[in-house]
Amino acid sequence: MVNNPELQAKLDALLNNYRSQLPVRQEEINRLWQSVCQQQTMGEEGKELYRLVHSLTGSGASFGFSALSDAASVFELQLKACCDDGLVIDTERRQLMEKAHKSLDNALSTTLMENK
Amino acid sequence: MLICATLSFDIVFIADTHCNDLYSFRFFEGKLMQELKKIFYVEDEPDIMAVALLVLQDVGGFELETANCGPSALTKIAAFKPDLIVLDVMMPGMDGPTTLLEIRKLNGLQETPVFFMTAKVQPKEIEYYKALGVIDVIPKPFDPMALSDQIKEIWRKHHGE
Repeated sequence: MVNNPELQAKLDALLNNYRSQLPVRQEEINRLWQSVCQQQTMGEEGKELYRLVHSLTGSGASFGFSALSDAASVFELQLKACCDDGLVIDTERRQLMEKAHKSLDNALSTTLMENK
Repeated sequence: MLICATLSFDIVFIADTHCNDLYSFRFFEGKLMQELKKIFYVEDEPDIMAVALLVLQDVGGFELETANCGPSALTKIAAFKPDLIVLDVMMPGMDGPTTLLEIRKLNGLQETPVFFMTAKVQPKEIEYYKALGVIDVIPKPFDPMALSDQIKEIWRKHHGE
């Protein structure tokens, strides 16, 4: 809480706006992840997924959703390795990414449920 | 021509009539330090831009100009004459480091202090940013209510060195 009602109202409006966009982001992340699962390398959709997850890492906790930033950060590191180093998505890597994706999906669902 | 005036016990104003610029300096820990007033902020993420803009203006009292991508920044920044430049790193198209290199080619912005505000803060990444000449890095996510103080601290540290 901020000791300035006007500033607090503005911050609350930004928070509500951010929260209202989370379901769209979750849907897009899931769609892109399903697409990446069909590929051997990241491709354009993989890079878009990396960008979206990176955005959640950098924004979640600034709006009070630390668990969201934490889960996104783990998934982002997996995606970064494949994007930046051009790694092939082998079975072991896919399993790690699947786990990280599931954690992020859960964190998004929990955040939305707890902040209806 | 430079005109110097002291209007209060610890603030000194210097006006450059040649280019119509007004600088204010404040004594901090016995040293005369240029006051941080104008910040140019480049950020592609609208939510982060909105919250940072709000707190830097309303809490920090800074004058802000913003751009949502590198090319847009390059068209606006010289006219704004910022005291400090804040750049996101990961932006589509022209990223933060490339934007920084392009800004350095513009007249009057070769020496303006720059720092990155980014979620890409692996040790090797920070090493790379420092090699580019940035004065510091603020990791994302940031605490909105602490951001202005963090920036003031970076400014003081930079001028104390």
